[in-house]
Amino acid sequence: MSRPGVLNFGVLIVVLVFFTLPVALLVLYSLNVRYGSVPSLRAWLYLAGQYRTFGAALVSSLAYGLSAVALVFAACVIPAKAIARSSRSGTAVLEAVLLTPALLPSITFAIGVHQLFIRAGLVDTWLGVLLVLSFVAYPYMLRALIAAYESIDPAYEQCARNLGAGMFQTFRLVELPFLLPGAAAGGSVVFLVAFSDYFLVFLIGGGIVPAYTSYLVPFIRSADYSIASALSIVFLLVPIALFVAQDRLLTLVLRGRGMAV
Amino acid sequence: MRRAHRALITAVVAAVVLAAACAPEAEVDVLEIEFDKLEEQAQGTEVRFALWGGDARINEWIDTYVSNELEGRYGIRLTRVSMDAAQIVNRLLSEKQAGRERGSIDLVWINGENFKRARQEELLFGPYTHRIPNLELTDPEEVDRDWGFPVDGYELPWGQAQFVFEYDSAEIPEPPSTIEALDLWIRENPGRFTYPQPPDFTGAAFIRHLLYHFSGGYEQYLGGFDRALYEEHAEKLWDYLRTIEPYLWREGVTYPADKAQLDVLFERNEVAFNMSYTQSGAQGLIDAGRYPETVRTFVLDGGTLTGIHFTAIPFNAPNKAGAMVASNFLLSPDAQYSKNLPQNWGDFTILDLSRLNSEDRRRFETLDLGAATLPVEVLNERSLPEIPAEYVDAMDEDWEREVLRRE
Amino acid sequence: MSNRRAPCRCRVLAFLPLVPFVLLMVAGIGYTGMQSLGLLVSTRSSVAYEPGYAAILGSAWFYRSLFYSLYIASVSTGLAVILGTLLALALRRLPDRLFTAALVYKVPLILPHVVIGLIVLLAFGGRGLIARAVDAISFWAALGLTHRVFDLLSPPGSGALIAAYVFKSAPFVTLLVYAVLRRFDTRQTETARMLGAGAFLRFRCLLFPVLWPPAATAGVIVFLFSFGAFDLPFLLGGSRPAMLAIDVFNRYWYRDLSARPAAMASLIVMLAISLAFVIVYFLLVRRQRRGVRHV
Repeated sequence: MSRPGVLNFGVLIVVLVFFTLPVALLVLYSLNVRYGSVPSLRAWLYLAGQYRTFGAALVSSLAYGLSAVALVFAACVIPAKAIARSSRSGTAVLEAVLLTPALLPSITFAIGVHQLFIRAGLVDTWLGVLLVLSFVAYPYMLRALIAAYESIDPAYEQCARNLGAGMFQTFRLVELPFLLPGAAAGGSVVFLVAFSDYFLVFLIGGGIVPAYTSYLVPFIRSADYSIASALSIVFLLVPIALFVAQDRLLTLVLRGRGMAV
Repeated sequence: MRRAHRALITAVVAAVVLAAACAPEAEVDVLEIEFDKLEEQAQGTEVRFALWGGDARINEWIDTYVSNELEGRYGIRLTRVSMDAAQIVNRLLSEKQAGRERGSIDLVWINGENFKRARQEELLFGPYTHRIPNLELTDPEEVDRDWGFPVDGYELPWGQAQFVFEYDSAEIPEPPSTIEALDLWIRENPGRFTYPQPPDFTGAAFIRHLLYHFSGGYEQYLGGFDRALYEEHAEKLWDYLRTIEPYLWREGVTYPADKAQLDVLFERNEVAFNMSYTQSGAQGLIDAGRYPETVRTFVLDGGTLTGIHFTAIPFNAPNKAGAMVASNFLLSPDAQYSKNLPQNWGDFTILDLSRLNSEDRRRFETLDLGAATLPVEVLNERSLPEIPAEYVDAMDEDWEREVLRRE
Repeated sequence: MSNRRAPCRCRVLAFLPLVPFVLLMVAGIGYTGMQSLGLLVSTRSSVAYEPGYAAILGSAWFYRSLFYSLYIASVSTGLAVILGTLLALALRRLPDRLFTAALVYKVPLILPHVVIGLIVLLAFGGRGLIARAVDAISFWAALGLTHRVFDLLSPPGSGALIAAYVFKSAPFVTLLVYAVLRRFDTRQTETARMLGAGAFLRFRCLLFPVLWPPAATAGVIVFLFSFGAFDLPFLLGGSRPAMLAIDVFNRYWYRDLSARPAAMASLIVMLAISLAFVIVYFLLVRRQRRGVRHV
């Protein structure tokens, strides 16, 4: 084997060890395999027995994660186009301002929002959680859609309009297929931000809105590492399954429209 | 014009109906109807019970036994909400300020300084406990005050706990049974002792023992909060805590943030002592395989703190009927017995055994508390009363200023 | 890019969907600001509260927390940027077949922070060898150095906290840097090599200008996150000094209303620092874009 070949394998092994070992650690702990203790299925059996609370937490987290993606897409698509198509110098500043919420530590405004939400009756509600998560995550979608719109030649749109397509028809048939890959990328980040958040959901949801992270953290805090590890594995698998499904779906849709993938 | 008129009327009517539907049930109602009617009213409702979530066994007991029994007996769906009592009080305070008349918590686990604060800010519903049948099974003399503060029917007793230390008898044959001996042990075994940082409930209780010790006994504090007395004695306590800091775990640079973290340190044998406000919790952890068989508990010769904890209903609880039925169940002999089992929770019942029927009494008398639990007579003999609640607030705050933040 | 201007009417209306979000932010910060001044803390007009700034700006504890937060954020960001960039450079050399396997580097991107915290607890917790190696105190103590000096630099929990942030953030840096590297034409370096440019010169003149913009972008994002986030310090942090987010959270949840102005004032200080970084970041991006245009 050539020298670069060996080097490449070396790199690969380091990467694999460094990034799969933690996952292996979770698997081992979930089976209670560690020094000085007997392997057992206790953690998994416990979760199976608690399927109601555990399932409710998972479903709730998935629901606000996916709803956040939908809400944020709806809110960002028109502004993204306006930014992408504008060449005024002020637009860059506006874009910067609109992207800021993703950069600021969420606690700096979340506590104020919590106080406001108490007044508005939005604490402890699913809607409140959805709003605050969408708020911290929308910049990722906005950025992705701006990039997507920048890659669409406005001439396409003009062409469709000239051929008599309405505004919605133009959007659905001409712009949307181009936007989908970008929206999928932005949507993945939005979903991850919303699905993995602990602090905001706990603060605004008040422990009342079921959430996967709120279900997991007490096990970590009270050092029940077997159950915590089992929950974490599910935590890893759910988004991966979703991403694979999304990828397949996207390929199908775009192929169906005869676009190169 | 006419149509607009009609639409307006429809809207107003709809709003009134909606408001009526959303309005909290009349409080007079739950306090006046017979308890069996209340049970009917609670049928099919959800009760949200907020309690400290730092003990996995307690959580599991609530999620399984309590939850199943409430469902089976009363058709009540119980939802456990993990939240410290201090957090709950703060949250209710914010809600009160914001005028939130319909909250989201129905029942809370509370006592001591948190109860006092909640009462002073009028955050609790009541008085209601005279309507709870199982209160008859307790001794009124015993449960009329909560750390010196009058209960006045705003909280229902739930259990009685005593502070104990936990240690591994395989490692330490003779545990230090006085504060002087403990102090000596700490200095001779640097890095092997620590306590959760106040305002953690258990850590705050630990330093109260030291306050009693360094100021010559508890009696002087029982008459209510006396700032001058406190200032006079507290300085000795802070001095002491600062002097032993270098001998603590991690040289006292950091403290376990809460009781759960101290549990972890003890389980991993990083520290030699754990502390718990639950008499037979250690036996439960042995049974669960988290502690070695050789773990035992001890109390100080001078006694350890004994306190009662309660459940209460927030002023804006949406389901007060359900909360009353659920808390009555928590005080029933069945639930109290289950709670008393070391495998489930392991603190002592607040029921007055002489008021129980003979069968129930026998159940409690023959309860196996396990080898790790001290005999009930020893515990009773070495029990100290809790301090008035104001001292706890003052000590929490001062610990932070005088110990944690002091260079 | 098109130079066509959208009609004016549309331009303003186009941003309407984002108005609720902007309002939420403004209102949240506004409310925080008011409470930091002691206003709106209580609905009872009889109780007055002092502004919180004097309380925090006059306390050594606050500065210690602040510098500690900045310290943790800087160290984790520095390490994440270096390791992440190195990983991206290594990945670029991998043939396609191996690259697919190397995609596992994205695992930490998917894992929530609380799970990263758990992994660090599993790996470094207790008295294991790794724990001793990572825990700064034991490490320096092993060298026979007095710990007190290093406590100031690296209190307990720092090692775990930094490890967690680096593990979570380095792949993010890799992602951004790799995206740019992929478009980089390797023939440039080949040509430079043929023309006799040394390794350092090749890196400085060709690779570095390509690498630094994404690395800096990732760095700013990672820095602000580690500076103000709550989840990881909540699981891993020590008590003295506390990360700012934890300190604020404790004041907000566990103290009475009199502590609220100080908590809110801490938030405003955090916000100001973060905003300063954001502004620097956007100026950077702008210059970078202008630079691209010149090319």
